[in-house]
Order: sequence, then C-alpha cells, then structure tokens
Amino acid sequence: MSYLSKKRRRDMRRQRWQFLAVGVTVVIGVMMFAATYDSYLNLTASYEQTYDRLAFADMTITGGDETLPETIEAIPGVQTVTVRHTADLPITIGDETLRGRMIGTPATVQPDINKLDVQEGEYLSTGDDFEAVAEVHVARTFDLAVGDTFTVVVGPGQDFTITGVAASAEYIWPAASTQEIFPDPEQFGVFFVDEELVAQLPPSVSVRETLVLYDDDAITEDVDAAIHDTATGAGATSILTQADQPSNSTLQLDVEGFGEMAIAFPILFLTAAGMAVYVLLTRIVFAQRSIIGTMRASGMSARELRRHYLSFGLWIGTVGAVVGVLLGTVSGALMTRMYTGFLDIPDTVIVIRPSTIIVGLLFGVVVGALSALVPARAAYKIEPAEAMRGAAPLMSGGKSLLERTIPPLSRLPVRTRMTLRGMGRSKRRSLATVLGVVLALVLILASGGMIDSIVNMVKKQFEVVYVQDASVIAAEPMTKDLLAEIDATSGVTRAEPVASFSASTTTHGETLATTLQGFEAGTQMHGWTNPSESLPSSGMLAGAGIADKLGVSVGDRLTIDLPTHDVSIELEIIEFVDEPLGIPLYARYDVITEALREAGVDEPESLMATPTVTTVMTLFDPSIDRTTTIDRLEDVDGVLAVQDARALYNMVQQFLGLAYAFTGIMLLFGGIMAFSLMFNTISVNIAERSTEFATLKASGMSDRTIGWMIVGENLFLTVLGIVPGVILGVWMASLFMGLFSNDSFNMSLMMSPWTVVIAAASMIAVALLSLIPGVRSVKRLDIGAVVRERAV
Amino acid sequence: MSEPAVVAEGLTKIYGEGDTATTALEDVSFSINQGEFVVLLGPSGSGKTTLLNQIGALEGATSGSLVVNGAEIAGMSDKERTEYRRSTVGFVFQFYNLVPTLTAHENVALIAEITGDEPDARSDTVLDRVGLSDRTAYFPGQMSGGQQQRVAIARGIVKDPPLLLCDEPTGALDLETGRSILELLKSTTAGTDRTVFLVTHNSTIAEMADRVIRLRDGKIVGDEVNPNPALPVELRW
Repeated sequence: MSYLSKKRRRDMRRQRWQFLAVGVTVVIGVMMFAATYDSYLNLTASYEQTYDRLAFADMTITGGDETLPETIEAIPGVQTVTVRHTADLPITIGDETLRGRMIGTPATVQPDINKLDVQEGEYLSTGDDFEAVAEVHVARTFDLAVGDTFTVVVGPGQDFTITGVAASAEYIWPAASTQEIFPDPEQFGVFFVDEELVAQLPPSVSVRETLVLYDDDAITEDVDAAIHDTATGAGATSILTQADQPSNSTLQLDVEGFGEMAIAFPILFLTAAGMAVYVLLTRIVFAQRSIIGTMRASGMSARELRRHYLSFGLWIGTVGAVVGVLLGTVSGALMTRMYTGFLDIPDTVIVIRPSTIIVGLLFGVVVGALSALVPARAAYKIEPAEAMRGAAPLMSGGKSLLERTIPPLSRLPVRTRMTLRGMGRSKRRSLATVLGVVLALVLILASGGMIDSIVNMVKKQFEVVYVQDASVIAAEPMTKDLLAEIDATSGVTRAEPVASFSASTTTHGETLATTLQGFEAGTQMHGWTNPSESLPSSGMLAGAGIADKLGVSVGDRLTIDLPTHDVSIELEIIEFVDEPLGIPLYARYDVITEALREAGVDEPESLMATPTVTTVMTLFDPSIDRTTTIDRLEDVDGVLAVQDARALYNMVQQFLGLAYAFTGIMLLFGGIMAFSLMFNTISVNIAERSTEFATLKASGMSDRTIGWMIVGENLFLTVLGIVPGVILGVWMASLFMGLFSNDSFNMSLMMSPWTVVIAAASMIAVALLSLIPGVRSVKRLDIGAVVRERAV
Repeated sequence: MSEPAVVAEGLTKIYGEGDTATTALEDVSFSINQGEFVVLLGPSGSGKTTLLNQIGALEGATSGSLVVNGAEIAGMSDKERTEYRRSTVGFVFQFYNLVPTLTAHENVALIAEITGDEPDARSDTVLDRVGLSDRTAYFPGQMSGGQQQRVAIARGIVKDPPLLLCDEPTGALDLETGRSILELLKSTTAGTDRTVFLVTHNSTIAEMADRVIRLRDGKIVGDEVNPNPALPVELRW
C-alpha cells in the first residue's frame, strides 16, 4: 500500500464518525434506489407474468349490440374475443347475506380470456349447472372450502357447491367496480359459475361483457382506440382498457408509487450524501493546506494530489454503493415478496438485475467523485508557496451581515458577536448546513405530508362525506313500512332511502364509468363538499375530477346511461363536489325519479324501490355497541344484508397499510439523513476551529460558554434552513400527491400544520443532538495536542 | 571549477496590480556556489521567503532570470517546476508541516516514494542520520517540536537534493533545540555538494554561514562571504 493510501486510510479513520455518517447516507440513498427500483420492476414483472399466464383481458366492454364481438374480432391486432355474462345477486353463506358477483365461465374448460388460477380443488369440471369456483378473497373471508355451499337468493333460491378456490387477474384487488374499489369483503364476493346460467338471467339483472385479448405484437394504443370507437358506435355502456380495469388500476397506484419513489427519494439522499462528502473533504483539504503545500514543494504533482483527495470521495462512494446495493437487492426481494403476499398476487417474480446493481453502484461512485471533485481541485490549486506562510488566516475577517444590517448588534458581547461572525467565516459550510436542513425537511415533509394527506383523505371520506354508519339492503322492494321499521330499530337514530345506480356518461369521446346516487332532500347520510354545501333541488353534483376527465363544466347537461335498466337520463351539473374517492354523481332522490319518468320509464317509483337500487342508510346511536345494532338490523324482517361503513374504512386502511409503512420508513431515513448531515457540518465547524477553541479554553473560557457559542451558531443556521425547507417540503409533498391521483383517488395535499411544526422542531432537536458529540469534543480538547499539530 | 548552484539576474517579484501592487523583490542579482551554506538574513517583510520561493520554483518571477544547476527556472511550465522540485530541492519549514496521521517513518517515506525506489530503506537511513532511529513509529503528536523538525529535515533530504531550502527552521524552537537543528543542517552538507539556503531574521545564525545575503525592502543590501563560519554550538541568542 502506498503511503498516500495509508494517509487516506488514517485520515478517514481519524474522522471515522464523520465518514461513517456520510457512508450511511450513501448506503441509504443507494439502498433505497436499489430496493424501490427493483421492487418496482419485480412487481411489474409479477403482474405481467400473472396477466400473461391468465390471459387477462386487454379490453372489457359492457353492453353494445349483438354484432359487437364479431366486429371487434376483425380489428387488426385483436387475437381473441369472448363473451360472458355477469350478474350481482344477493346470496347467503351460512347466516350471512351478501352481494355475490356471478361471473359466467365455460362449464368444463378454462375460458380463453381471464383464466382462473385454481389454488384449491378444481375448475367446474363435472358439467353440473350449480357448481361454482370461489374467488380467493370471498373464500378466505367466509372460510369456504371445496364442497361448501352458498345460496343465490333469487326466487325460491338455489344452492351452489364450491368445486374450487381460484385467483383471478380481474380481482387481485377485489374492487367491485371503478367507483367501488373498496367493497366490504363481508358484503361482496365473486364466484365463477356456468356461463349458461348467468346468460339466462334477465338483462335487468345481468350484463353482457365482451372480453378482448390482443396479439402479442399489437400496438395497444392503436387497438384500444379502434375498439373504443367501434364499441362506442355499438352502444357499449362501459369500455375498460386493461389499464383502467378497477383491480389493475388500483394496484398500479402502488406500482407507480414505487416507480416515482425509486427515483425521487434516492436523489434526495444522494444529494445530501454528496453535500456531506463535499463539506467533509473541503474541511480536510482546508486543514491540510500546509501539508499539501509541502507535498507540492517536495515535487508531488498536481495530478497525484487531485487523485489522492478524489480517492476519499470515490472510496466512501464505492463502499457506500456496494453496501447499499447489497442491502437494496435483499430489501427489494423482501419488499416484493411482502407485497405480492399482502395482495395475493399469484406469481412472484424476483430477479437480480445487473442494471440496477450497475446504476446503484454508479450512483454512489458518481456522487462520491462529484462531491470530492471541488475539494480535490481546490487541493491541487493550492500554491506550494502557501505552505511557507505558516498558519496565517486564510479568510478575510469582518463584521457579520447581521451586524452590518443592524448596527446596534455590534454592541453585543464579544462572544455573541463571535457567534454571529462564525456563520460567515465559511460561507460554503454554513450554506451546506442550511441546505442539509432544507433537504432533510423536504424528505420529512414529503413523507409526512403524504401520510397526513392519506390520513386526512380517509378522515374526510369517512367523517365528512360518508356519514352513515351502515347501509341496509332489503330482500324485496323498499316500502315505507320497512323503512319505518329500520328507523325504529333500537340503536338506529335515523334511516333514509338512498338510490344507487351503476352509470356511465360519455362526452367528447371520453367515457366515465361511475355511480349515480340519489339522496333525500336534507339528507344526513352524506356530507356535501360543493360550494353551497347542500344537495341542489334540481340537476346534480359531480365529482370535481369529471372536469378533467370529460372536459365538462358547471351548467353542462350530461346524458347518464343506466345500463342495468337500459335507460338514459339527462341531468345538469349544478356544482362540483371535492371528494377523495372516485368521481361520483349525486342528485336528489325525487330528481332522479322525475328524470327517469322523463326518459320514458313508466313507473319510476317502482324501479327506484328495487333492492338493487335503493338501500337504507342509517345512523347509529354512538352509546350503543354498533355490532349489537347491526345484529338487530339483520334480524328485521325483509332485511337481506347490512353493510357496515366501518368495514369499508378498515378496507381502505388495509390498502393504505403499505403506503403508511413506506412513508414511515422514509421518515426514519429522513431523520437519519438530517442527523448525518448536521453532525458532519457541525463536527467540521468545530474541528476547523479547534485551535481557536483551545486558545479560548487556555484563556479561561468555560466549556459551557464555548458550547453555547457553537450551539447558537448552528441553531441559527438550522432556523435559517427551516424556512425554505418548509416551503420546498410542502411543495414536494404536493407534487408527490399529484403523482398518486387518478380516477379512483383524488389526492391533494392535506397537511396538518402540526406536521410542519413537528418537522421544524425535530430539525432543531436533531441539530441539538448532533451538537452533543461536537460540544463533548470541545470539552475533551487536548490543548497541547492541538497546538503541537497546528490544528491539522 | 564547477558551475554555480544558483545565479539570479535582475530578479523581480511584484504581487498584485495597480495601486495594490507590492514589490517583494526588486532587481535581485547574486551567484551562489555549490556546497555553500547560505543564510538569507533580513527583517520581516524584507523578501527573504519570496526569494526562497523563487529558488524553490514555488512561484514565478515577474521579471529577471534565475538559473539553478544550469537550468533556467523562470520560464518553466507547471510540469517542469514539479519535476524540478522533485529532483532538485528539499524544503524545511518553520512549522514542520508533517502529516499528523502518518508516523515519522511514513512522513519521510511519503516523499521518498515519489522520488525513487526503496522508500522504506531510504527513510530509515535518513531518520538514522537525523538521530531518530528510535522514533520512527512515533506520530507527530507524540514528538517534541525539535523531533518533528528533525523528521521534516529527514523528509527534505531523503531524495538527496542538491539544494536544501530552509525557512526559519528554528523559529519555533528553543535555543538548545534550535542549535541542534542547525548542527544537523550543517552536517547534512558536510562532504557533499549540497547547497543550503537558510532564511532567518536571526542575525546570530548568520555567524555559521559560508555566505550571508542581507535583504531589506526586497533588495540585496549585503552579500558577504564568511571566511570563518562559527560552529552552531557556539551560537547564542
């Protein structure tokens, strides 16, 4: 080993804690990149493998005329077209009643499109009409096994025997529809039954779906567009590409989230690491000016010197990157497995990608090299003559900006003025401290802002918008007597009928699949987030996202198709509502009834009263146990099922579990990064002035006074960084939230002021914490040693 | 007769420009023979260190000529100056400038490494010559000022340079230690053609020189040959 290498090794060992802090930041940055990017690619591959294996439909069209499948089959790029029927029917499993989605599938062979991944038992193999394959979620919720039965409650009722339990690409996330992505698992289940049975059901109960699979080499966008035009012309009520399919689009949120995070957060960390390397090496070069001069005077070339100081950055960057890549690869595999396990994705693809390893290593090495470049350049630029000048001060003195701006400050005690001037003695280091605070705050607020927004979004949805405690589904058409009986049930404080239609509306060539809900005037079951905070007496309210999606605005009159009732009504948009989930449409119960009448429905009241349309929303007495109230409601004659709104809340929370975990880890890492950066800049600050502090100590100044000078200076810089850090952090959080918004989630930043206060306070706490080692080092300062070494 | 070690002709060095221009050396001319022990004497700000820097090719001259061992160094490129410093001059500074993370041996070997083979053996030899064979594994922080300066001298001579430039080498040392360092410097030239330039403001040290050049305000105000140089041990200040 050359003596220069030995010098580097010893220099690093001498400042091991600073280098360790920098190394940890590089490790975290590279690890985050490798883990999140690998997870992103692994998840994408896992989905793709599952989708390919199960021939997941590239397009799903609801409705349209009889010739539509044939027409679509002729479109270039289309490989296969199949037709099936689907019906949502009330079913009972044991004592529980729920909505069963009966999906028609060939009786003895797997379908060509949307195959099932049979995990227990077998596919419908006997040709018996009344067999079913249960989707894994419903099977798990109700503990269903092969041989168990459930009953479809239509007319006299029909028992179905379960032959198998299967996963489906369509229901990896068990969303009931685009607008109902969080159905209560106890109130919604999917079963696959003989297609002939479902096809026999009347059109008011079942819908016909055309499934399309593309050629492998088809240009998806082109085929999508061609099918969209064809299906729209054929009167289709819903046209869903694979990307918009409810389960897939919900899951893509997470995957895209990983993709965005895989770039954004590591960049923050690596910038911070780069800054820390820069600060540390600048300090080393500064402190070693006389040695550098001596080495140059002794004939060492500028290139050798530059290489020597560059090697510090390269070394720490390389070691950090190697450790980061190793940890990241393992974490990426664990994250992928955790994720696919959490969501029951049938296939898990874990691949170690050389590209991720190479990019991760490059990240570390490049950050190390770039950040060392300026100090290394400064080193070889030092004229050897400087070595001859002993320990002459290398910066010009002068009053601080504050003293010049506020002259009375010049009358402060000298030690206070020293604190003020200390900040200006190394502007780049002070700037690094400020930037460190800014970066740490950006990371903490971006993560904290996301958690806040998600919490507030869920809170808004379930405390402001969805006010009801439970929805009661009747077995028969709703009557005033049943409504009165529900209202009178002990524990229920209010009951209201609420109509709900699956709907779609097409404007400017864009189709929105949505729901239309009808509430009574003065309803207490829903909170209104439109400007007038009430349901208008005419027209309708629409989710604010509709403006972007369809290009419509207040005052526009929309045609709303209600496919299950084969009718279209027209309603004017009166105002927009700002709700976190979905893009719903709302109108008064009587307004919808009247619109149906105008659309030619003979007895709209009867249609509205059907159990598939009208449910009863209820509010509970909070002093009574809600399970007891739900049990009492289920015992009411004529009640088919009770859907607990809390279950929906729990479902949303479950979905967001990963987001919480991820952002929580970010918060932790943000704290580590902030500590690492501040610890470094503060240590450097103190180390640079060891001679000065030794002199002050020798002159009788107490450790406490010196400590306070250091604390004051660094706290001031921390506060300076907090202001831009908060602004940038809030902006970044808002940007991240925007990345997560789609038709299902209207993510906007809803950050609590407390988060900002806590983040700012935590910065001050981290600053104080990172000062401890520095202040302790002043206490331990060996005056003799410092003088002997000339503060090297 | 061998060629002179250093010949300066009209050497001028001006720092800064315009109103802030400061003339550090003005029209300096002299000729030094090989093997001479030269003391550059003068008060603070007289231009001693600037002249030493010129001879060491640490900085360029504004005008004039400076020939060292037959080579004109005024017009040298950076690369040539580096090579010149590597092969021709050794430095000893007032504040030692040792690498605190390297031992005495390693500090010397660091320079030996860039100037030839067997850096370890050469380092041990010179450390032995400066009387530190029992301190080779000590770090600078574990040594006295005199010992550190001995290491610095060892570092300066390990590459066996024909020119040894010393800037106030005793400035930070007490009398006894200072004398021992001067003895050491003197002994390193004994029996060799090595020329030593020693910068000092201490006129007593001039008594041990073969040649004394006096500087004031950047000009040579005296250039004397000392026919009877004193022994370092005889010096008092």
